Amino acid sequence: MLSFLNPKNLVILRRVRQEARRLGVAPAALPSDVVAALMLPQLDMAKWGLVPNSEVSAERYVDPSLQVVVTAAREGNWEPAAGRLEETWGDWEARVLVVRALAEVAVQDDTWLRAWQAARPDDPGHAVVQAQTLVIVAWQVRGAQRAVNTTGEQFAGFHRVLVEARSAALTAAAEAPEDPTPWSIHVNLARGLSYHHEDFAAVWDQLIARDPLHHVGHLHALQYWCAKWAGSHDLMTDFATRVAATSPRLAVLPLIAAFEHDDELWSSPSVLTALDVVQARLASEDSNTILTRNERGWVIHTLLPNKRFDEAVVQFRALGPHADGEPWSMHEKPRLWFLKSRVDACKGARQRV
Amino acid sequence: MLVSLRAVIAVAMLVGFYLLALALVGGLVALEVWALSASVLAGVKIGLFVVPAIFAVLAALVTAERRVDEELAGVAVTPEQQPRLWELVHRLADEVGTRAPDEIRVIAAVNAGVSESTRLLGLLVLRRRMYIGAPLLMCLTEKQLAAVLAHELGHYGNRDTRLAGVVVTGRDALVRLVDGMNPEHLLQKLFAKLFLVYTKLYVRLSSAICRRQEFAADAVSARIAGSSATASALREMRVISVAWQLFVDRHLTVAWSAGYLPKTMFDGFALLRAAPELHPVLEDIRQEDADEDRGPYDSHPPTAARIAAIEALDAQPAREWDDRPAVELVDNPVPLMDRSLMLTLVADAERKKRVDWVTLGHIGVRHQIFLDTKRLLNAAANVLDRDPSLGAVLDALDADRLADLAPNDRKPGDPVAGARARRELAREIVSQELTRLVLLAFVDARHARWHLDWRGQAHLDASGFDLTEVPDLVEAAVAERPDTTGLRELLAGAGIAADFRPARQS
Repeated sequence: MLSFLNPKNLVILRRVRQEARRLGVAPAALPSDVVAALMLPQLDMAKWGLVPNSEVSAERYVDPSLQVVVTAAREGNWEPAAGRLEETWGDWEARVLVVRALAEVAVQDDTWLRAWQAARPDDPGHAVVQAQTLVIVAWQVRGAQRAVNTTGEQFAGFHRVLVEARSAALTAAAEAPEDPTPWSIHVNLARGLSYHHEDFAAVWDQLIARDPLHHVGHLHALQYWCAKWAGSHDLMTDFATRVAATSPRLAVLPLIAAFEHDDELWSSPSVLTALDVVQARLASEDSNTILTRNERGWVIHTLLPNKRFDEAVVQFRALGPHADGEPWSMHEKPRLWFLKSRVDACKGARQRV
Repeated sequence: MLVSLRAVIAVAMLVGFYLLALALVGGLVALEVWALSASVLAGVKIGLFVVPAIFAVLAALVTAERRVDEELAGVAVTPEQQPRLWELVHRLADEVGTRAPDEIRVIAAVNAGVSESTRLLGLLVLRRRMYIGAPLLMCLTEKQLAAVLAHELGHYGNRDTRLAGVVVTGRDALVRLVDGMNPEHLLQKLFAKLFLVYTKLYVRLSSAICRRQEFAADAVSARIAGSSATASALREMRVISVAWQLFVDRHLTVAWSAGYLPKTMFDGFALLRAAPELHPVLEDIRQEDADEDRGPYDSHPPTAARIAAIEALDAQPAREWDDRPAVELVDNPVPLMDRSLMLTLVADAERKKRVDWVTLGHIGVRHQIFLDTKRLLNAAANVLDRDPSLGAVLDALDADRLADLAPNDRKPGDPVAGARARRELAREIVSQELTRLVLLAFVDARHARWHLDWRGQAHLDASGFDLTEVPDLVEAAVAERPDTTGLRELLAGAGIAADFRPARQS
C-alpha cells in the first residue's frame, strides 16, 4: 500500500513521465514493454560501448539497399525486385534473404508479384518468392500456439496453404534447377506437412546436392528433427552435433538445439565447443544480416547461463541497436528480453571500455 | 463380522462428528463467557465472531438429522403388470437369501440399484426399492440381467443398504457444515478447515467400505449367475453407456431445438443397437481395456479390478439362466420405457411435435445446417447492404469481398498475420458455410433429403442432381480469383432462385 513512497518506485515513475513526455503521449498510453524497460536498472551503456536503451528496436532491420527494393515492391513496382533477385544468382545465402524480404511484402499485398509474373512468365524469380510467400501465409494462419490452442479451421487453412506452397516450390525448382532456395523452402514446409523421414530425406538430398552448407536450410532441418515436429531430442541433438562439425557456418546449430531441448544443456561439452567455434567465426564476420544477428543472439543466450559476461558484451556491441533476431524474436516482448539480457551481461562483465 | 465392523466404523465416525461439533460449540461458549467476564466490550467484540460460528455449527447438526426424502425416479411396475420380471427378481432374491424388494421401478438410465428407506441408523427397514435401467432391459441377455440384479440384491443380503443411508447423510451433513462456514471470518475459516479434514477422512473411509461392498456383491452375483455372465454383464455396461449417450445426444434430442421428438423412443434405441454401421464401434469399446482407477474418493472400484476378481472366482452358475434378450421378460416394453424416458425430459417435452425416426433425423440435421448458415447470410447482407440470400453471398464473393464475409472473432493464429493469411482463413470458414447453404437450398427445393445414420452421421440423399461436385464449385467461388458461374449454373438448373433464403422450418 505504501509502495509509492518507496524511493525506487518514485524514480521509475519519474522515468515513465519523462519518457511519455519525450514521446508526446500520456503515461498510461505507453506500451507495456516500454514501461517494463524503464523498470530495468538504468546503466550508462556507453561504459560498455553499447548504444543506449532508447535506441534499441526490435523492428526488422533490412539493409538500406534492399530496403529500397522492398519499398518499391510495396508501391507496386516489381522491376527493382526482379533485378535484385537476379543479382543474387550463385550467392545462395543472399538469395534466401532477398526472397524472404520480398515475400514479407507479398504477404500483405501481392499485386506487384502477380504483375511480375504476368510481365515475365519465364523469370524464375517470382516462382520462388511465391513459394516463400505461401509458406509464411500458412504459418500465419496457424500461428505459433500449441495444437490444443489452434482451431480446426486454422489447422485446415495451414495444411491447405502448405500444399499450395509445395506445388509452388516444385514449380520454382523446375524453373531454376540449380537454385537450392526452392528446396530450402521445401525443407521448411516438409515439417508443417509432417513428412515421413524417408520423404524428408529425399527433399534434403536435393538441397544438399545444390548447397551442402545451406545455412537456412540447416536451420529448417533442425526444426524438423525437433521432438515437437517429426523427430526427437536425440535425433535433433545428433543432427546438430554432426553438422556443426562440418563447418563453422553451421556451428550455431548445437546452441539452438540446447534451447529446444527440455533439459538445460548450456554447459554440455558439444555446446561449449560449438560456442567457441561460432564466436571465432563471428569475430571475422563483417556482414550484418539477420542470419549473423541470429547467430550472435544464440551465442549470447548460451554465454549468459555459463556466466561468460565479457564475451556476451562483445556480441551485444556488434548487435548495436538491432533486437530483431533470435532468440529475442521468439519472446512475446523481444525488446524487453534483449534489454534485460544486456543489463545482465553488463552487470556481470568485468571489462569496460 | 464384516457387517458389524462396517456398522461400528460408520456409527463411530458419525458420533465423532457430533462430538467434534459439540466440543467446538462448548469451546466457543467458554471463550465468550471468559471474554464477557473480562470486559463487556471484549465480550461484544468476540461475540461478533463467536455467535455466527456457533450458529453455523448448530445449523449443521440440525440438518445432519434432517432426512432428504428419496426422490422416486422412474415408473413403478406392479407384479400384475410385469409378472415375468417380478418372478425373476423373486427367484433371485430366494437364491441370494434375502427378502425381495417391495417395489420395482424402471428408469431411463444405464444403471440398476437398490435402496431402503430406513430409520434408527438403518436398523429399521421401511421399504425396499429396486431400480432397473430400461437400456439394460433392452441390451442385456436374461442371464446378464440376472447377474446385475443378483449383484444389487447382494447389497440387501449384505445389509449394505442399511448403512448406505447413514454414510450418505453423514457425508452430506459434513459437506453442508463446511459450506455453511463463512470464509470471511477467520475463526469460521479455521473450523471449516478442521471439518474438511474430517470430511475427507470420512469420505475416504466410507468409499473404501463401499468398494469392499461392491466386491462382496459381485461375489454373490457370480455365485448365482456364474462368473462368466457376471463379468460379461459388467463389460457390457460400458458398451450400453456409450450407445445410450449416442442415442440421447445424436438421435433422441437431435431435433429438440427445432421442436420435435420421436413418436416412439425405445424402438429407436433397439434399432441403434442392431445397426450394422455401429457394430465395429461398439465391438472396439467391448475389447478396450476398462477404465482407470478414479482415486480414493470413488465409491466404486475400477471395473477392470472387479472383472479380474469375478473371473478369479471362476464360479459356475447355481442353475442355468436363459440366454434370450432380457427385454422378452417385459410385457409391451416400449410404452413403459418411453414413459420412464419422458420423465427425465424437461416439461417442454410434452409440447414437442412427434414424428417418425426418419423424419426426425432429416429435420434435426436440416435445422442444424439452417443455424450454421445464418452467420454467412447475415454477413453477406451487411457487406452488400441488402437482404440476406444465397445470391447475396455469391455477389459478395464476385465483388472480391471474401475477407469481409468472415467473422471478426475468428482470426489467424499469428496476431500480426497479413491480409493474405486473413483471406486464407476466411476461405476456410466461408467455403464450409457456403457448401452447407447450397446443400440446404437443394434440400428446401425438395431435390434432396438428409439421412441420419445410427452412428449419428448425416448423409444427403439427392435425386436427379450430382451434388458431389458442390465442394469443387464452392472452392472456385472462394478462390483468390473468384468464379461463381459453376455454382450459379448448378442452382439455376435446379430451379433455385438467386434470392433463396432458408426459412426456420422448411
